[in-house]
Amino acid sequence: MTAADLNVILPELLLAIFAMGALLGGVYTGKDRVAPLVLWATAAVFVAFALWIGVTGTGSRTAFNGMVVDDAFARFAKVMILVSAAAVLLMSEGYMERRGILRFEYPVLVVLAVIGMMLMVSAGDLIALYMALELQSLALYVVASLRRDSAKSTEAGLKYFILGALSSGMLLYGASLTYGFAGTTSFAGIIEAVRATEDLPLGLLFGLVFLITGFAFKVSAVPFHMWTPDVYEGSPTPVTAFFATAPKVAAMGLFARVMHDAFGGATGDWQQVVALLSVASMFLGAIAAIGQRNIKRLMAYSSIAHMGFALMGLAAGTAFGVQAMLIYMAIYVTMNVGTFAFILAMEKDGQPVTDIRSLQMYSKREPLKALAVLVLMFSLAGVPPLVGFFGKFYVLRAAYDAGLAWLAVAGVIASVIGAYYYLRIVFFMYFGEDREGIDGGMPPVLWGALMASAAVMVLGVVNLFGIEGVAAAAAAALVN
Amino acid sequence: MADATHADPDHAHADTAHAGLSLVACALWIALPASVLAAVLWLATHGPLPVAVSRDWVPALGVSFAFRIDGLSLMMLLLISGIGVAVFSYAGAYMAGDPKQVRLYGLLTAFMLAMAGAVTADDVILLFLFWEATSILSFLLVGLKHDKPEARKSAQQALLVTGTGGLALLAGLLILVQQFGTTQLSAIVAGMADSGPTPLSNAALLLIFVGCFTKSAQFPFHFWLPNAMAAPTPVSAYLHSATMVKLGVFLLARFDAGAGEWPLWTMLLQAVGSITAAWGMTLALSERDLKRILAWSTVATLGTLVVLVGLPGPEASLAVGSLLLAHALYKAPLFFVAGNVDHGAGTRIIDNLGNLRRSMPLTAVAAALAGLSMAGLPLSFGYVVKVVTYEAKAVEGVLTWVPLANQIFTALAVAVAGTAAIRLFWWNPGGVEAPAAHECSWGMVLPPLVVAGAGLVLGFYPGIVTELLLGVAGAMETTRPGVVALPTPAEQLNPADIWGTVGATLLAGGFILYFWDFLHRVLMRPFAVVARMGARAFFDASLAALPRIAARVTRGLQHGNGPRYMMLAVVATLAALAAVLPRALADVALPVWEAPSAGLATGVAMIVAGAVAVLLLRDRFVLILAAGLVGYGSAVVFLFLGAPDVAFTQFVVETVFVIIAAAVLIALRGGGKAQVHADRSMPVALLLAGALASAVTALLVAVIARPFDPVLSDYFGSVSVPEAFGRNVVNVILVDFRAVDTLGEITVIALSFMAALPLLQRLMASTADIATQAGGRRVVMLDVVAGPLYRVILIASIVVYFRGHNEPGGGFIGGLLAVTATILWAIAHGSRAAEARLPFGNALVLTAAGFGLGAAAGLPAWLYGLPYMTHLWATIPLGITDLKVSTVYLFDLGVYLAVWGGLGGYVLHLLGRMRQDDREGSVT
Repeated sequence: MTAADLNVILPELLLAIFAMGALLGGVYTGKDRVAPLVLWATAAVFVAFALWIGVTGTGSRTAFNGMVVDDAFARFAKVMILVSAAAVLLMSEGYMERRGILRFEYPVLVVLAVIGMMLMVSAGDLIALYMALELQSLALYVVASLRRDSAKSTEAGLKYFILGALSSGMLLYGASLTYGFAGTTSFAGIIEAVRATEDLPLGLLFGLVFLITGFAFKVSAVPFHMWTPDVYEGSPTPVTAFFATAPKVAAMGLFARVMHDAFGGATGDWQQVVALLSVASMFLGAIAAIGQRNIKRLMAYSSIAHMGFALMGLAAGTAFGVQAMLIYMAIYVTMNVGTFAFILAMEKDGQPVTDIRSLQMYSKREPLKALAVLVLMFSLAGVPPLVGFFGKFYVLRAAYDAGLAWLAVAGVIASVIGAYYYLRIVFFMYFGEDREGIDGGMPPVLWGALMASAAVMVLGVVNLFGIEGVAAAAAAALVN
Repeated sequence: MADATHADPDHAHADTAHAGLSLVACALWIALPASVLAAVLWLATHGPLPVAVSRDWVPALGVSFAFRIDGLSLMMLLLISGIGVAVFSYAGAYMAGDPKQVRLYGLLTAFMLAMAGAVTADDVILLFLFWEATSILSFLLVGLKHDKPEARKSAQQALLVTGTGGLALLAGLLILVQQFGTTQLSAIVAGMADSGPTPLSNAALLLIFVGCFTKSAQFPFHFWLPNAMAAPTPVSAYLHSATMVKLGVFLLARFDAGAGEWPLWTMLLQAVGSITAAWGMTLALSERDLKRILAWSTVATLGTLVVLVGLPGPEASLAVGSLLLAHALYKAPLFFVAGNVDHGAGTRIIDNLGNLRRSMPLTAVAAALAGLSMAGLPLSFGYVVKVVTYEAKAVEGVLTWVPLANQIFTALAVAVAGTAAIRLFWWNPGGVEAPAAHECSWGMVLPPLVVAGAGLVLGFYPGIVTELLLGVAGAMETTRPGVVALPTPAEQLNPADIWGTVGATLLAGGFILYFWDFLHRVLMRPFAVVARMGARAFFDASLAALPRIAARVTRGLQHGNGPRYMMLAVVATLAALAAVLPRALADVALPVWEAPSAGLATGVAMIVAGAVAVLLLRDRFVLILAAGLVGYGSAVVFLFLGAPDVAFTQFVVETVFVIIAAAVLIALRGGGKAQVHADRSMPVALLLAGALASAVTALLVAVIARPFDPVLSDYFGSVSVPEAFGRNVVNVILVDFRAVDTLGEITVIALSFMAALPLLQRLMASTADIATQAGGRRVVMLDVVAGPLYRVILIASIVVYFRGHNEPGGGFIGGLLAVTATILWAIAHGSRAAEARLPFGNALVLTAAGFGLGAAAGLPAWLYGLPYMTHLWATIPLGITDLKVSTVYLFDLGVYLAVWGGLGGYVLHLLGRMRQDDREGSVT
């Protein structure tokens, strides 16, 4: 445990210290009265750390004998996690305060979850992976049931916990099998064992299957998605927004890391499984969302479908595939931040509204906001020429190049079906019947997030804000 | 049809509101297409074509901003900007005073730019982006009158059909990109010409056809176009006649230079095009709304264009260019006329109209001019087109039914032209009393007059556009055709030629015009029958089915039932296992059956009994005991398989688990029932459990059958004694090799206990009344036995702790044993008393002490400069034998104490609170 080791995980360490300090500070001072302060401070720290990691990080370093890896891939994911978590935190303040659920534990729990996520994407060892995953999950279980007096919220938390525990169990089972047959828990060691033989040793194969099962839960890929709609609906909306962004990036990053860093030599063994998960997620997400009137449930299915597309990039099993996946995730997170900024502002007489029919003729009352939502919906649907289309295009291309033409075709079909429900929202807003809908006002933070996100969807068309090169470097760091 | 006769409510008349744009503002909007037109004209007269620019965009995807203008693009640009000027001008008057006017102009402008991009893009991805942009803008423009349900439905329908087709197009284009290694459209077309047809490029072509056919409303995707007539008139004239629907034809023409001679190309395009031309025109007979009649004729014209693209030879290419131009010049004015009639007479239903020439003279002139050209009478540009088309069909390779379809098309076109130009203005077959019509403002009259007049001028001087048309043909052929002379006015008036070209169709057309209403009545029924089986019915049915399927899927999968979610997860895991099992079992020799020893059989029997009991029993307490039985059974199995230390641990863990779980249940009993619900899904669950068990068994069999990879066990077995001086490998791993992990574990125990403490206290406080009944009695026997037993168990636990390093045992098991002792004391004397008997008299302090000791045990090595948790050994000679002392024992003691304090504390607080409340309760 040398200084060099500690230096690698310095951001996580400092964040942990910050979390504990904030917790103690909250307890011994004003408790929930200091919650806004803690929240803003947390968001500021996140942004500062994102800048720090993004700007100063170079090269690849490992610490604790390979337990933790700090490379371009990890940094890319970490910046995404930190920035989106900061955005969601800021967006949630007003909403939670108005409903009296802004507790000072909330930002602290988010920090803990974020530490978990950051470690997830830098894990270089099964033990580190599991620790990080559980740190994240435990914090999220609590956050999901933050609204303790609501039966739906507590049910959401409980369901999430039980199914999450099941998935953790499977993951652990897979990890034990892998350890038992590779003789080591470090990814570097596992990949040596994997590459040593032509065929993947049977124990490792089973370990791989169970590991994938566990990851599928975390990225909410079909058929391990069941918790997603219930949790999205039951949780307070800011928490839903959080669930839809940073944890998805982290889980995806972890998935990619294990597949490439530990099982990189056995692409053929996991490629088909990941492709199946991808197809199932895209289709179920697209089809099931059609029947939804509750916009939170709808976004849950939307996220399932989007994870399917991101998995398509992973299924390609190439560096370009990982690059496509990273770009897809970055675009997805940006779109979701904007969309949830709007959903957070959907209320009538101070009560939150989630029925999409309340958006009828929204364009007439609020033309600018309606236009922004239109852009976001089109982008989510992958309608060209918005940025969302490029995300889809990347992963389709990656799958096609990797010889998974059937997967690309399936992706196109699924995206057509999926377009239906995004368009329906636009349809309501522009062509609905005129009637009483949601209130017009919108807090400045939410307004800013919505507009910024929509603007990115349009302006990003020029060069995707240069994300391409960064993502390529990140992918190159992972796949070699 | 009566409901449609009302005045269009959406385009507010000029005298209602003045929310629209001022004249100046309109002029500014018009300036944009006008300037584009000027640029295009300049390019047409000056620039050497083609002009190309290119810039990198998304290099990883090989996409670039590349534009290229050749003759074909130039023609399209001319239509886009020229008709654009007319449409923008018309919209200024048509939408005057309407608050939506700004939106209309904004969308039209965006659309114009997208169109211009689509026809000039030289990168297939760029082309696709613009292509889809026009679909989306069309969606928004059609839906402009969103308060009408049919407008909403049509907008959606148009978008779904063209959008889906667009994706097919993208797929086709991508295949070509893959095949030719470039995204540059011109290079791909050139490559196709060189390579000739291959199966892959034919497949790509088919996909591109789907895109073009949907966009250009070809059979069987033709149905969306007439429905899109719900759009305001300027939109219909611009998008659905002059420009957007031509995009499909345009792209086909683009590929004509590459694939124009391929069999698939000529056959399919001629077939589909002629079906569309004949059938689309016939469908015009089913309508009474002038705009929809015009829309069907547009569909048919697009069909003719597709046929011409499909025909080989430069003459056909020349005809494509001429028809593109002619159609725009007569159809846009006719749409304007329809808008004017609607505006002036308040309806577009032809039954309610007649003799409008008196009230709307200027519109009548415009209609006549445009009608002349559409009917193809000499001295109009329409006639020129007919001549050119006639020549194009004189080549070889024309399908037999193409001329026939063309006859039907031209005859009906004459009838449609007559309906618009004659029936409405000069005739009154329905005997309608002249409606109170009025002529429209100049802004609505001039655009049709000018555009239709241009058609006539070109009829007189076709030479003006010869160069332009040759440019189009040049772009569609690999070699530019030689100079072609279009018929001069004198040639056009040659009676023999007139008869040969248009005579028969004129007669037939006049006949149809005269009997239009009769034919309409006769044909309505067959039309209805076909409509029920047609593509549109299929489209509507699938659109209606989608939400139903979605609802079914959602109900089936997302019922909110937790246990079933678990089942689904199990099923999925099973499926994953099933996928790998065959490979695993491929060459497995089944293990030889051996009769198990009595002990082993007992253990297995216990496991089975416990598992079955769990399924059958309903009482929660008994359930926990039954679950415990499974654990004890596995402990027995371990014992007889030669793993006594594991067995030992298992026994103790199971005991503590059962006690804790039972204690929690007692505490919770106030809130819940003692009985578990009988679950209806149990048979399924049973089946799944059985399947999963079988799969895992098979897995184990397969794994065991392979040579065991002894890396780990060998390693630990060999280094256990020399490096850690212990023979109990399990314990050595726990306290030495993986000591930091163990430290982490006891940290968790300590922390969770600390965290749970406040919760436990609150929980207990709320359920005190139930505890009163539970703890009322005392068992005398227990009081007597408890004292000695307590000491015996504690001593045993210490022994277990000490021998741990070499024999089964260790700090963890020792701690668990001590916990059972504490529980015993708590049951006999109350938890206060039991806690008082703990070291330090406090569970929390004990836990902390254990943790501190464990953490401190690693420090000496660290101070020596060795890694943390490296254990130090020292040998103290005692004469007979050497005594080995080590920090290991210190560490293991820490584990012992932390387990004792942490778990013991849990149980004490669960149990103890009740006793305490019981006592307090009895006092009050």
